[in-house]
Amino acid sequence: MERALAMDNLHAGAVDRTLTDEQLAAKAREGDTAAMEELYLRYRQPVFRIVYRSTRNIEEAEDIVQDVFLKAFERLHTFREQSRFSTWLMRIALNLCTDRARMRQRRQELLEREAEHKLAWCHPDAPDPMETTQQNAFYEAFYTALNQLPEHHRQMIILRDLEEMDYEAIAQILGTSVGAVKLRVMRARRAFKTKLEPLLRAIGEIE
Amino acid sequence: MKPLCRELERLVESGVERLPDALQAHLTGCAKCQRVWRLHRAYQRALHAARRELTPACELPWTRVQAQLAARAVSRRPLAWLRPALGWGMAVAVALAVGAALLPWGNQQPSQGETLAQAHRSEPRALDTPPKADTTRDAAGAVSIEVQGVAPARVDLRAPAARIVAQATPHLRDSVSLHLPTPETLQSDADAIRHRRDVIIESRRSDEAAGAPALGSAPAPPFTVASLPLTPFGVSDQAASVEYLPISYGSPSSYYEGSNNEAIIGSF
Repeated sequence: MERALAMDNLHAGAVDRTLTDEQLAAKAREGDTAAMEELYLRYRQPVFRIVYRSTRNIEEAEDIVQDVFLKAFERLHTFREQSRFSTWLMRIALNLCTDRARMRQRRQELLEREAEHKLAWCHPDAPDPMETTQQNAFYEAFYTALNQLPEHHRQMIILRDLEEMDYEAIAQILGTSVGAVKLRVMRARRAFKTKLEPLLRAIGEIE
Repeated sequence: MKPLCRELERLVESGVERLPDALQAHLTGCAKCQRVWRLHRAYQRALHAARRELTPACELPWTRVQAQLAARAVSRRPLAWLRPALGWGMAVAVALAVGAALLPWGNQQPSQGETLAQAHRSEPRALDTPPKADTTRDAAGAVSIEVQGVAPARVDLRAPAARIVAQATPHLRDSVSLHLPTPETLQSDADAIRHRRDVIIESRRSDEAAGAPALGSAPAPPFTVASLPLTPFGVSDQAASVEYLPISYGSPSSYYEGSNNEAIIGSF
């Protein structure tokens, strides 16, 4: 990993790193690959973190990150600079996460349907109970409840409570008002707690 | 719901971590608020734990993204030129179709592919063809050479080449020669074909009645026959200014029906 990061840093030497995101985006729009690379290196990890929190799978998260940047660089001409580049990028990432979640849900439904027909299909995402230790039980409960949420609620929990973004930034990403975001966060938390309560009770966190 | 319960719920939803003293005292006497508060505290702890969890580093290298970008650009390039090309192609095709529909056929010169009827409709007759189909060659020797399935040729046999035609088929009767129908009687290609067939059938009947040998094998269907002069290099008669259009030859049995210098070319 360190070697990959070192190589990335070496590649990115051709562009002025003091440029803002928007200046780099303007250069990238003209086909400057060094500017693209610099933008990629700046936002690879933040995008990955949000995506990983949603998927909990490194390979799937990397696939989504790649799709995010491919989509962003191919559609740079649609970036109007009315918002920040990072906001625009996060919006793309969230949309792709939503798409993936839908696909995953469809696959899940298919698996459940197949299970009803007693086919010997193994659930790929089911955690191995032997590997689930007391130490990570807390995380497991948390993310199990999170994954049970609808995508729009999950995004609110991730952006507001895990990434600790302020309401204004979330409103910009989602293209809505601050008041609407507050309402969505409140509903998401309520739904999340409903899912989380029995899981926490099962592991003895609450009585 | 009591006002204190409502206040606690509001604070919980706003995400507070500590309650005011008044609400703390309320918790001891309200089981429902106790449950809400415990759940909220557990939620807060879970959040803190999740935030502390280390996210793995993204090892996706830039080179992979760059390669994907390049691959997509290459795969998209053909579509970039294909789309306008398709548009232009469609426009040209439509323009050609419209032009072809509007173009009057009568203004066109007869070409090799034109039918006999079209040729005569579009152009004044240069030959003095007999007024009836059954008549033989006229005195001037005007003969039309026509082979089925091949574009017709107009031959002005008033030139010296006409004598070659006369020598070509000593055993054939003159009635075998074909005649050009008058433009007035021909309304379409189908009319022309029907007319030619009638002429041939009628001439064969008259030949059989006269006891003349039939050309080719006896049960052969109606066909057209013509005699052409042959040179060692093929069909040519430059001195007579005879113009021959391409002719497809028939079966080998139809060759060498005449003398050594002549051939009868038939097409079945």
